Amino acid sequence: MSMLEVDSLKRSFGGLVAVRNVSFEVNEGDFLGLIGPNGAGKTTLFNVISGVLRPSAGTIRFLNRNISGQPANQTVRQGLSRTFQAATLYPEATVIENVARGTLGASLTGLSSGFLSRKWRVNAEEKAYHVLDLFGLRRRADLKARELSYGEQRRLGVAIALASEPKLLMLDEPVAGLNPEEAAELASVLRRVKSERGVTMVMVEHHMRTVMGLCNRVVVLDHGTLIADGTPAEVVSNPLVIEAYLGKEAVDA
Amino acid sequence: MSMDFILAQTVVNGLMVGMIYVLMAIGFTMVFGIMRIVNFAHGEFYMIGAFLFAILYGSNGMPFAVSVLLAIGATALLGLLMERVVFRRFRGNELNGMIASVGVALILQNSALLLWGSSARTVPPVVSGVLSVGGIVFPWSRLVVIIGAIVAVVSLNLLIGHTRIGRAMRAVAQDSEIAQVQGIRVDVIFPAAFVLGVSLAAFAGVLMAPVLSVSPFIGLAPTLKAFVIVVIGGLGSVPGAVVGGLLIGLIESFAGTFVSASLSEILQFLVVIGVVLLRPQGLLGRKEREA
Amino acid sequence: MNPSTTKPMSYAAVAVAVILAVLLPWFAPNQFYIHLATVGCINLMLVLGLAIIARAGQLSMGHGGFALVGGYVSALLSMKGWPPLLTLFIAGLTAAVIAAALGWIILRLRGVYFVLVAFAFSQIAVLLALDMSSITGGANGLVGVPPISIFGYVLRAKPQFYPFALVCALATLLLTWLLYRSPLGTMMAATAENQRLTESSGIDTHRVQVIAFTIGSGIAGFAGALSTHYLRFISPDSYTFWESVSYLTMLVVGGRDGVLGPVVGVLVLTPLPELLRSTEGLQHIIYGTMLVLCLMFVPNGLASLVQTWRSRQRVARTTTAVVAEEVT
Repeated sequence: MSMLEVDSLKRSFGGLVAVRNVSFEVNEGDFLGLIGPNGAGKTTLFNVISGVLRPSAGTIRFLNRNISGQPANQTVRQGLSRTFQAATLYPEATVIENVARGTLGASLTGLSSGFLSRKWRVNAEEKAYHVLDLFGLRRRADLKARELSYGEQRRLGVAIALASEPKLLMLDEPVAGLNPEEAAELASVLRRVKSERGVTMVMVEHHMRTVMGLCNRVVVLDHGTLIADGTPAEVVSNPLVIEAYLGKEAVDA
Repeated sequence: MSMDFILAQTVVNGLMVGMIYVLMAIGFTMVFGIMRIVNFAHGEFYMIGAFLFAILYGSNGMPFAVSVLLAIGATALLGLLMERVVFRRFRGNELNGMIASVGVALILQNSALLLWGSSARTVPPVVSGVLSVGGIVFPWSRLVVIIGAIVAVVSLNLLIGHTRIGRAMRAVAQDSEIAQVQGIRVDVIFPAAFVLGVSLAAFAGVLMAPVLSVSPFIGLAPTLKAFVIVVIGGLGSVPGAVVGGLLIGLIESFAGTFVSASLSEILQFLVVIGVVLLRPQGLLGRKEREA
Repeated sequence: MNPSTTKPMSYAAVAVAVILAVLLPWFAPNQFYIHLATVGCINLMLVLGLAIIARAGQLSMGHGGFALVGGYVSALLSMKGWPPLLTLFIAGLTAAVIAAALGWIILRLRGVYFVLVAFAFSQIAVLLALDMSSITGGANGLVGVPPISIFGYVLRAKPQFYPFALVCALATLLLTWLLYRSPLGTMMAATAENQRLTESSGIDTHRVQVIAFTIGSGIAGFAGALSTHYLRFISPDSYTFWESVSYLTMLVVGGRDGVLGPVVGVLVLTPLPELLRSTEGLQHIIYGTMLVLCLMFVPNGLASLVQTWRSRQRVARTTTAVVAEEVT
């Protein structure tokens, strides 16, 4: 079943077209990799889908609902969460508080509740502890987020996004800046999240090994245009892709 | 009095006040654009410039040019001191920088109050007489303010556009990190921009001292005006500050002459709300890049 | 401070403080101290209002403007014969409605614009009070505002008014504490710390900030009205920009996190103006200096010194626990 449908999406900044006429689908259960050379428009595409930017043209449908141009907070409540490139967290709050805050948007019925009862907090922390377990961060629960190592902070960033109980989780370069061990650890966490929670995932990533190891499908963007869509094996052998992306990298290497 | 006469006076007054606001707003917007600090103490430097001039020129009878230079120089030094001691610690931290500037405003205003007392002083006019054009007379005392302010704005523009330090300032205003990578010494640019902004405020104070009276409390209103103008014109935009300043000056003068001073304030507030709603980047401001 | 870690010790301290505040009229050497305590209660409400706005990451330089609006609304209605006990709440509501309207317009924009418009609003409020002299009495203000009466018991003198002010202040304190512990309060803190991330957790941060601004300004309106009925007088000079600045000073000096900060700030800074009444300039210089020094050296306020000490203990415990776990 198709979960996310991106149809003829376009986004330009002034005269500069960052994403032109991009269409693809994400099916339920997919782990989709979104790759492409620097400046290919991946992050822009990502921001448009998650509601951070408005599309210039085209539509985005999530669970058969048009979400184009809708504010990010609403999209999240419908089940589409994202992470950010840099370690994005609440540095002064504790680790458990970071994840508990992540649960709030999805679980609340209104803003006026929870003034006298503490049940909401118990629930939020209970959910948050489950997420921390999944990410191997439970032992760090009472530390402040800024006291974590960089690798742990990146994991916490994904944990916060997962706390909103998304059906589709979009990861913006989750392993960028991590050393090989940390990257491998995050990859195994993502695999675990996928199998235990059944979350569909989309990942923008430069790190080819991570993409090839995790994703069942890959779409390739070059100069704002979609040039390939298929399994990792198909994409790697696609001449267009080799020319646009892997070729250059192979030459550089 | 004929209608022509009143109209001409209103325009001249509007342009005079407007140009003073332009000077205030340019300094304010420069400090914000470069240091990312909303300086609530900006008007206090205007007040101190006016006071020093009043004391030097008015009370001690020092020569005009010497008084002007000393008043601006001393205020600039005070600005440098404040940048060193207080503001440099808060650059980039918009919220705390703004609160700290409120503290500095409190300190400066009330130090002036303790030093010089609360009574208003008048400064003898620098020039007298009128300019008569086609039967309409313009008092020179006001024209001098307009001319002085125009000279200051033009020289500032030359400085920013055609000198090395000016280019460096523009680079820092655009992106201080990239500027730093390019080898621009930010630790020189920040105080330079701050002192330049403060000097403009002091010069505005010097220009206005002979026209209005001087007291420790005259700094807040021009700060608010600078703030309003900068929002109307666009945060960080010098041409925006000129357009916004003249607009506010003329609104103030016309509404003040023909209706009431409070109405002019309310009108300005509505203009701000309108701009904020319809064109949040300001009339001449660039749109902030989206994340 | 994480509310869930509040220890019985803290409850005991709160209880002692409340009892001391209640008993004040009995051990105060003269009425001046009761007056001071009453002013402190009113200041506490105003600073708490400001703290709620700051909790969501905004700074209101127009806080005094909302107090002024509240003061005039309550004064005018009660002078028309409305019961002051009712007009206090109408005053708070009016300020809240204005704040909601303004906030809806301006809070979508960057913090700097918000500060300006709130600041400009308070100036307009002062101008309107001056200008509409047929209603507001112009620069002379309104004299002879009726006292508050509760079921016929008139709060005319200082010892009678103080308990009422104390109840109002404690109620505000309790409400603020409950708010901070609630989901909304958690969202406010999250918005202040990282708005983009909070938005990405499915929270409409704009709405959260408008609500915080509305609640905080509503409290200011109520407190302004309370003060007006205490002094029986209000004028455009009652709440100028510098009053807004003094509430800000109390908040920053005391501390912006939690409810302890405003209490500390009010306790430290309320007596100052009253003691230095003869030299107003000196008082403001001290305020300004404290503001700047606090931002430089204790940016989270005096109350944070207690919390730093506490969290050091907490970190020490956690690290020991983690080390022990890793060793075994």
